This record gives sequence, C-alpha cells and structure tokens, in this order.
Amino acid sequence: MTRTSALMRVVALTAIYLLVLTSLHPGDILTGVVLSGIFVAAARRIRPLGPSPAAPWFRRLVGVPALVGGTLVDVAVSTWRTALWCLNLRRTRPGLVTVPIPACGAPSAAAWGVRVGITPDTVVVDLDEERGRMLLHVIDARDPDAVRAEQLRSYERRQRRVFP
Amino acid sequence: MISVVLDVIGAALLLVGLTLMTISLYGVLRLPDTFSQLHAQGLATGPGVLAVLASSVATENAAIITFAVLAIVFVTLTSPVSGHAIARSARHRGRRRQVE
Repeated sequence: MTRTSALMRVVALTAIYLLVLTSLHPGDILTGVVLSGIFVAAARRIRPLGPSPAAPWFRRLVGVPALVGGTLVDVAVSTWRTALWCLNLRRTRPGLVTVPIPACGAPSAAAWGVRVGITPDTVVVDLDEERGRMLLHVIDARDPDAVRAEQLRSYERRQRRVFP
Repeated sequence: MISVVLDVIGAALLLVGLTLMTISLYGVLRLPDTFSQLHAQGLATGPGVLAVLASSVATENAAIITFAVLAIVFVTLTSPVSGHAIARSARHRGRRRQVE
C-alpha cells in the first residue's frame, strides 16, 4: 500500500465516521483521523491485500454500474430460489462444488467472494487465490458443471472490468 | 404525490424484508445441517435486512437515509464474511469428526 492510498483510506474512513456522527466538530474530526489512522495501520499489518488491479481506474469505474446492477439481479434471483427451497416448494440436492477461478490478485478474489457470498443460494466455504479455486456450498449441486459455468459467466460479465 | 409513492415503496420494502426474515427463520428451524441453515440465514442477513433498511426512504429524512445507506454498505460487506467464517468452521469440524 502506497502512502497516497493509505492517506485516501484514512480520509474515506474519517468521512464515514463523521457521517455517522453527523458532525464537523474539530474534536470529532481529530478523533476520526486518529481512529482511522490506527485502523489503516493495523489492517496493513494483519494482512496486506497486495497490489491493486493494474487496469486504469476510469475503465474500472465504467464497469461499476454493471457490477452493482448485475449483483442486484443475482441477489433477487437467488433470493427467490432460496425462499422456495426453504419453504420446501423446490426440491434440490445441496452440496459442495469446487469452482476454478482465473489467476487474479487477492483483492479480486476477495471481491468475488463477497459478490458470491451476498447471494443466499451460495455460501463461500473456502477461497484459495494461490491455487485458483473456490469451494462453494450451493442449494442445487445436481449439475456441478452448470454451477461452475454460471460462476465464471457471472465473473466475466459483472466483475472482470472492475476487479480483473 | 412523491410522498405517497415513497410511502408505498417503503411499505412494500418493509413487507418484503419481514417476509424474507420469516421464511429465513422457518428455514433455519426446518433444515438439517449447518450449511443448509446458512443459506436460510443468508435470506435474513442479506436481502431481508437490506430491504428493511431500504424502506427508510419512506421517512424522507436525510439523516436516517444516510445512516441506512451506511448500514447497507456495512451489511453488504460483512454478511458474506460472517457466512464464510461459519461455513469454514463447519467444514473443519466435519473433517475433525471424520478423523476421530
């Protein structure tokens, strides 16, 4: 993490802190800066995420609507499937499926994990970006190849531009 | 007019959120193993909570809506992580039991 990106993180966290307090009192700003600084320093020591994706930021920014909109669609579809499954209106066979993930950095793998994890019909059990695989528990594991294809298609269409 | 529309949207989102939470509770009680229960609880901690928070648009209060947006971002980032942590420990526990 460069000094600039660390500074950006401190500023962003301080802004969130002040938004939560809805205050611009100098004491609150100082407390926010100190707390954010401690948090950013601690997070860096606990587990550095590695370099950010090399793609230019404006190209990544263009992909954000597709990422957010596509993820919302995924969540809505997955919510419907899971609700039917919970109510026993949809018979499936839940199980574990290993999904190969393309060579990507830790930030990209983490984004993939969060994106998949927010949909209720998939739970991320293990994520190994070094070996390039993700272990998922899905509510319908009758066709593991279909699950893999759906995950890879979703990565290509929604995430790749923002987190390559 | 806009106020009425926001009221309707807020009420609909609240209804959807509470329905999802109820289904989630039923699923957690009915389903047999930890992994399956995680899918059920994912309904409440993901879309359920998000819908309830999004229903704050009906208040038309900037402060409340800002808090709700911050909470939505927080829940979106933390809910998958907590689900992953529970799933991972469930898998390790299952492996340990097999070894024993």
